[in-house]
Amino acid sequence: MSDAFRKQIRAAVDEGLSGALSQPTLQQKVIEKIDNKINGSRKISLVAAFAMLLIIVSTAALAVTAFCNHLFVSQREIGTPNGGTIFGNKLYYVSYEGICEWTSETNAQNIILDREKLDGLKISTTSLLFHDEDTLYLFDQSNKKIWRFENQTLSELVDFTSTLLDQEDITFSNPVFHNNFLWLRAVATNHSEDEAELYRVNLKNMTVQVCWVKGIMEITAYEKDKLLVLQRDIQTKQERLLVLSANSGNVRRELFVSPIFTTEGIACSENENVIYAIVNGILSYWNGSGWTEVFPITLDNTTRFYGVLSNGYISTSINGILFHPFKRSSEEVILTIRGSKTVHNSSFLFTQTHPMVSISHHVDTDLSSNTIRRLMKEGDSTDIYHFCLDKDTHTLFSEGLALPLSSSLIEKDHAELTDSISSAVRWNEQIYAVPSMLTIPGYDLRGTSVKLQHPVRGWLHVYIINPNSPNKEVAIEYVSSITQTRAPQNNTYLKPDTAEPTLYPSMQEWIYDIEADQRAMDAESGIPTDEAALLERIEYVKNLPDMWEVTEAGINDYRSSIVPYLVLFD
Amino acid sequence: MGVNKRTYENELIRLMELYEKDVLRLCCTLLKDFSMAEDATQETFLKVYKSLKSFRGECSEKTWIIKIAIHTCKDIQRSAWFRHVDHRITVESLPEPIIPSTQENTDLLKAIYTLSMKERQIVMLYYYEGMTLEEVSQIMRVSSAALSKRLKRIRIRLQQHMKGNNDDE
Repeated sequence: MSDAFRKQIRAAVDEGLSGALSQPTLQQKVIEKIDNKINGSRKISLVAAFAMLLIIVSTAALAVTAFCNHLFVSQREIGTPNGGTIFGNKLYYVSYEGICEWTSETNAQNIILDREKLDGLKISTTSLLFHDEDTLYLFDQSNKKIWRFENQTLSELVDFTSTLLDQEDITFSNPVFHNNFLWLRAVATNHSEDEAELYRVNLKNMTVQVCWVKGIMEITAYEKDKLLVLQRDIQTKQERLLVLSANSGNVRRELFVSPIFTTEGIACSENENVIYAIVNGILSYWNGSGWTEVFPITLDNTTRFYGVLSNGYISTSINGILFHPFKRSSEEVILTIRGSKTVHNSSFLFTQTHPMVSISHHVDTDLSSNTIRRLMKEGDSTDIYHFCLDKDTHTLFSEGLALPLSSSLIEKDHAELTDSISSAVRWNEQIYAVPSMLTIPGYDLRGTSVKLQHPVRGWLHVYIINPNSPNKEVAIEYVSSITQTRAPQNNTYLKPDTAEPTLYPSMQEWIYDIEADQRAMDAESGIPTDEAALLERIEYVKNLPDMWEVTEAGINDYRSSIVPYLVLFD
Repeated sequence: MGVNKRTYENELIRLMELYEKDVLRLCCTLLKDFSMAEDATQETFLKVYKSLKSFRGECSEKTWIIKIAIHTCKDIQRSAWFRHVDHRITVESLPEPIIPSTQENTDLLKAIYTLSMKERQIVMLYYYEGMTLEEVSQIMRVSSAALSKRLKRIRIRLQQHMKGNNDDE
């Protein structure tokens, strides 16, 4: 019933709006508005230039210091890499700069075909690269064309217009050319990721077929005539690593089944056909009957591509390239965390500022105080637990099953917590836990959500440190860093008394630019800045819609209608 | 700054190539006015552009953009101009469909347009986009239980409306 109804609604909307949706794209209009609004003048003051220099220097320093156990090349340096493919022990990708290659040895991006040339061929930024034994290809999913890259030029190979690949509402990813077929992961606009399909494309006779296996999350070539796919079933919450025929696309065998989603980053080494995956946060290889752990990897939340080079494991995300060399430093510290993952990118950010630390996060969404007690009594040496605070958490504190926490960051943060949260993470005047986030179902700081009934149940996630942790100092540094990486909304929930209205970071930057530009222009013209006019202009911008991540009204509403009634236990 | 701006512009173009139609479709359904929907779509992508640096990947790109589009439509709906325009003109005011529509589907779209803006959001996110209850409740900041009840009400209202139309005939 529901499916039929859904189909009927989609058909009604698609048919009724087909005229509206066939109108020309609005891209040009938006770009023009950007140029008018933001790009009025680009004279940058000395202060702004100095600030930017600091950012560039710190980014470069980060890249160098991070080389120990992982190397991160940020999007700021190379642009956002779209997907990727490993060919001849190099990473290739399309970025705004063009078609690029990157090697771990040089740690430098080399543009092999620049953006202007791609623009000249009307090749879109969503293009994906793949390769056969000796040639690199580009699949432009906007124009449905495949191009061959040879002698530093692109030549059109095939045009899949009017074939199954020519469906406007399908996004393709993860291209793999294997056994004379191009394999693609396809997700329809109206479908969820777990409904992704596998497409088999014959570049010679232009036939496209959809394979029966569904729920494809990742694809990689394996051995001479096989594919490996990671498949997820949201209904049964099962995850499977399947070996498929690279001829028919049919399942040959099931390599691995997991009851929860713990696997990502499937990749095969180019020559040895060793299967790698990140299982429960640890890079592992398949030993024939199970996974053998290699080392922990903390990925960026926005990772899109995974691959193996001869000397390490590599991934690309919206934020850049992350490379983990197989050769590890003997000074590496492995910090272990068990429990739910935070919505923030905290672990990734921590590893960027602590290049000698690797984080192994064992996902356990059901972790409770009682489970932690049992684990500790069994001698568990996990460094940090991250879980939803419950009525038994104080018993952990009183029984000495959590390390008392003291650092200037933790103490300062603790002093600002609202009373109910502060007392929940403290026992006998000692701090034992650092809150990561508070969720209140149905409540929104924007004040646009439904009215709640009192009392208000909040779910508080906290970090505690195992007193038997072998890495207590690093663990304290990690939980201290949590106080600095929370999103402003979460900080408001936890610390409403000191919360202040917060602009979205990009808006703050925009305002900074407005002020810097004005002052630079005035200085150039030798006139004093009209402070009142500048202030008025900034106030106007601040009052535009959706500038604020946390508003004054939202904070006040939260302070009066939630904080007094907040309940953290059933 | 030049490099950054170009980078972000290209990223914006990529996102518009992928999601412009989704946003326009959503805005058309929420605002029931094509020219306002076009404005809302432009405004949405301007905000996307401004927020590119702060996107932390806490949800998918599409969910993030849909959230922005919904807030933009809400802002437009709250604006004085919107309140002074007659929004009873509905399906007919849209550009001529290029796909022939059955009477039943036209009636269903009209029925959707009789729903409140919040209900239309639910229809688009749950039924059209195929999001799960949890995803929709996260975007709309309502509990799954409350959303489930609303869905039931919406289904009944749409079915009643269509039944009423058929009875009239």
